[in-house]
Amino acid sequence: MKRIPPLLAALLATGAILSGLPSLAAPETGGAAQAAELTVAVSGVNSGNGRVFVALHRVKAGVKFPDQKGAVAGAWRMAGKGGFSITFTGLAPGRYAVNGFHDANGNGDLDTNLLGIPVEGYGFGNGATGMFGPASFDDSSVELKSAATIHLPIGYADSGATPRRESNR
Amino acid sequence: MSAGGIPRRSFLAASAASGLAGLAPFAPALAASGEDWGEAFAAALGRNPMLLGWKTPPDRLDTGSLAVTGAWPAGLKGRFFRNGPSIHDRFGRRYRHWFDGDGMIQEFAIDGGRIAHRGRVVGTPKLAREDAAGRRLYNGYGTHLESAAPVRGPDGLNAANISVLHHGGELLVLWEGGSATRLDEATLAARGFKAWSPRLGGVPFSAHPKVDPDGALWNIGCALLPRPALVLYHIDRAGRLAKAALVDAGPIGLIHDFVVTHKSLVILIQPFLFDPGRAERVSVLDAHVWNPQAETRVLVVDKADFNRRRWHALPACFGFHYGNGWEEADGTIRLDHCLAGDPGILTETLRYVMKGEFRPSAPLRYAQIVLPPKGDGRIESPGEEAEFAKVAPAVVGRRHRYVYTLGAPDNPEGWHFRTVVKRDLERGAAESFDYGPGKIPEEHIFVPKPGGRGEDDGWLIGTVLDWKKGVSGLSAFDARAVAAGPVAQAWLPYPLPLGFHGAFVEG
Repeated sequence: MKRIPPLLAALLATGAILSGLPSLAAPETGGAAQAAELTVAVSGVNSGNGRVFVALHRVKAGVKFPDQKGAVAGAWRMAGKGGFSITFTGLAPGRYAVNGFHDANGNGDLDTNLLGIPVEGYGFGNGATGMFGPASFDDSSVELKSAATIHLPIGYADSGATPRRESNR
Repeated sequence: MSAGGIPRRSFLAASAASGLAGLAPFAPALAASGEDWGEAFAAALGRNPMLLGWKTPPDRLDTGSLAVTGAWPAGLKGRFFRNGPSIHDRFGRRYRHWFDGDGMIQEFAIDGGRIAHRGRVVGTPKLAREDAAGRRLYNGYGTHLESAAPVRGPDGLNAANISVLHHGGELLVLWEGGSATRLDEATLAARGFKAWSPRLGGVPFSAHPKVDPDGALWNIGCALLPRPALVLYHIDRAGRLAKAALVDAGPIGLIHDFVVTHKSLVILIQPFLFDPGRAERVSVLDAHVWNPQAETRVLVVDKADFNRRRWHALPACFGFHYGNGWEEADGTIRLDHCLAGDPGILTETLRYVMKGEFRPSAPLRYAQIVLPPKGDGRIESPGEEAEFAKVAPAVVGRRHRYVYTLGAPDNPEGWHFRTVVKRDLERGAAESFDYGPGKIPEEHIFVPKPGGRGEDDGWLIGTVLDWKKGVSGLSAFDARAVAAGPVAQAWLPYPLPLGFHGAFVEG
């Protein structure tokens, strides 16, 4: 099972600037000062099973979003019911979009059903939603100068055998 | 990287499917989408009490013992479940299509002539979220909100409003755009969606599964988004998944029903096709396009191997329901179809009834379809008005002699069914019972007599709305004497909303 696209693996292997976590961040190249930090406030995680993946993207308009090949940083964190905050440091100023998912079964992947619809939780920065697809870069991003916080609510499809509201009211 | 790598699939591929039917960006308050139809309907109901069948009932109905007329057959014991769109109005909004309302299970518990009734709205996550918000959040099949909440899969819109299935010891409520909903048999409370396997969670499971005489269950699922595709299911008699497949059948629309023979699944793709490009702006129904110049494509799939498939073509036709089908020794397939010349009943009649308006449309008529082993099929000339075709469970996929339908011969009240018809295919004859003015029968199903002999040795049972008296009832016919009328009826003290399909569970 190929778990890491080679290009991305190479990118990620070079950067290690993630506070308090096994580092997966990749710095922007170029001459800009790398002093900015972005905090992602994750919420809505529905169980402590597995892990949560959070990714930052800087792809430009016209590039399909969010494709992990375009991720400039990513981090796994053990899942806990509710949420957590994670701070990416050493980033170049600029616009960052955020997405993430809850790998509840710990297989390293966002599981989907036969039709390709995610059956694990996922979300986009600012709680953005898409029409017939992922949220747009603009809707799910934040402008980073020196420090910023962006919210990343994780949501879940209605599926499986979880008991829901009863009909007797 | 001890904490794990980057997911192997591109997130794009996975999340491309995250938005589904009619997803407008969420807005905190619904924008007005024209005048509500509730007032128009209430005014029309005042003038025309026949519309009672489209009025929203209370969420919960209970009657300990129905008033029985006639002699209820001693052997006809068990539970008769029905389902249909029921919660048409809520939060001061009325849906704009009959097919949109939230489902409500009607249970008739029949024990030695004592019949009790319970009606319960199906507790879907969709309705729970709307109730919590105190307003309508989601698009219906035929209702498009100016600003609908997003969903993460078809079950986010699941109205659980088409049928009921009891299989493998489980009671399931069926929709067709998404999963089946599990019901607690004791309380009729919803117990979440049924996932036949982890990969089949949230995948459509249609409302007309077919059960072979040996107990094997076959079904289709009709997915429109992220891209149109058919799902095929084979479930064993114990309710375990035997196999499933995803089939790219080219452009499709919602497919309400299909047919099994003893060796094949037969799926008609009528030229009323879903255009994904329209779906952001209009309802799912209105994203369908009727093309009478196009063919009806017919997919025949081998039950033993879902990869063995063949295609046939038929002239364009439109209908919801098939009775039964069988396959002859040379491979010729014959099946019953209740078909019309166009989908006007769906796009006009069953939409504007919600406003209390009658818009006439081409009637559904009984026809037989013949598919030769190779080449184009044919539609044998459609006959009388017919809908809700049913056969005895023992002949599913086998050659049948009798098919039971509703009919509407020269009905002066215009636009609903009034008769129950037993069609004898061998003799080319039919007998019927006319409920008479003021009554609207619903689907009647065949229940075999315990130890019965012969295809028609059993009962027909079904509900009927008496809109003049404002009550609904349950009828039982001797299936060998349909024209003689019900042998017994049981009446509720209230009306039920007109619905779709039911299932009888013995015992």
